[in-house]
Amino acid sequence: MSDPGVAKLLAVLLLYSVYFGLYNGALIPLLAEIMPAEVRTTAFSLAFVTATAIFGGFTPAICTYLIEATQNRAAPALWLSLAAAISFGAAFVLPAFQSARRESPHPAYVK
Amino acid sequence: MLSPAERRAKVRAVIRVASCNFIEAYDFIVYGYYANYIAATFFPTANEFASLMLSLVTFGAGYLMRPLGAIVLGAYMDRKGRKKGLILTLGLMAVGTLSIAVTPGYAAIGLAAPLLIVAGRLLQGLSAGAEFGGVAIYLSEIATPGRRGFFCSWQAVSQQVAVVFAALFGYALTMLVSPEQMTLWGWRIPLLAGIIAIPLILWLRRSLEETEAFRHSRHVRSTDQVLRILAANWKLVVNGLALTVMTTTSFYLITAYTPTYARQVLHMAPQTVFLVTLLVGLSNLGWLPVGGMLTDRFGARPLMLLVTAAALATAYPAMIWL
Repeated sequence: MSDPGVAKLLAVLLLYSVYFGLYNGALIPLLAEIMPAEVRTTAFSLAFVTATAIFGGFTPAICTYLIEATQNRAAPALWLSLAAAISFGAAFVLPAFQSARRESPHPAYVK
Repeated sequence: MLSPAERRAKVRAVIRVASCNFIEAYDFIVYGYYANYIAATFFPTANEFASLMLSLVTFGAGYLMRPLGAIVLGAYMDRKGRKKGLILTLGLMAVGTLSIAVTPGYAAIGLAAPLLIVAGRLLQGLSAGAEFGGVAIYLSEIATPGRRGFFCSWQAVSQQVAVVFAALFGYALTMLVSPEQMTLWGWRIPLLAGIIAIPLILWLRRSLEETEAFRHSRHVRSTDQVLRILAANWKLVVNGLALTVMTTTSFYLITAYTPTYARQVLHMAPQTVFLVTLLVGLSNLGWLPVGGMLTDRFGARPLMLLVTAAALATAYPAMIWL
């Protein structure tokens, strides 16, 4: 593989790194804030790791499979786009879900 | 404003809990870095693709254990406190990692070898199920007013330091050790490095303090109670899950999967791969506190909507161009 290949891969990954850094920077305090206080650790962890189990953990396997099945080297980006669409929808509807929280209400972090 | 002494105490508290998170993350991610070698050692088949798939599915199996860990060990942290919980999870992680590091290969002990690897990976998953959340909650509970975003960002920053450290370690290793030796025993060294968790646990037992928020609040008394409150809030948990999808997919795409992609699809040299992973980790390190500070300024939700919309518009075109 030539050097331009490495530079291009790096450029794409650095773009994705901006998505990850900014998004995660917002997600963690929000998730800590929206969960009911008495079960904060359990609820935060359960939401976070179930998403990771389904999406994160199997990302290497799914991307490997997608490329093999479609012969499209850009297939991993489709997987990432699906993830972005799901989280966009979830952020969009969050205020409705948040107002339904049971027990120990405390100030929301959402503006 | 904090006094200088209070400020130092906050910084030290962040360093303690972040170092706990660093080891946890390092132990958990290091498997993905050496998945190719682990495949060759424990999952040998005639077909290289099948062998790699087995190794990656085992990698994924660790993640399947995490919801169980979240409930069992997360409830422990909500009942007994953040400190006790974090020390317990770190101990379990150390046992899981070391068992993968020292298990003889398939050639030596047959089917027991891959079974032990799966067991070690499952134990790692159980621990990771609650540890990352516990650290995030710990940081959010000790944050000074209006700076929760910035404080919480150190959870992910310490994970990124682990990514960078694992990449540096791998880079140095592939420079020093030949590819044959790497397959034979070299990949075990970075896993054995997880043993530094043990002195760290002893240090945290002495120095980590329980959060004020936990000490001054009512606690749930049983896991049963935890489950009932969870059930009453299941919609919120599902929404939180959907919110996390973007973070987890982008993270594992650019860290855990990148080495495999660069080697298998782009046929890059291992040294190049580790260098790329290293730079991505450094970039993440830089952007995470920025995300936290933007959140403190503008709120989390606007930032999340903006980033996911931008990703939808640009992620695929960028990779087509690759």
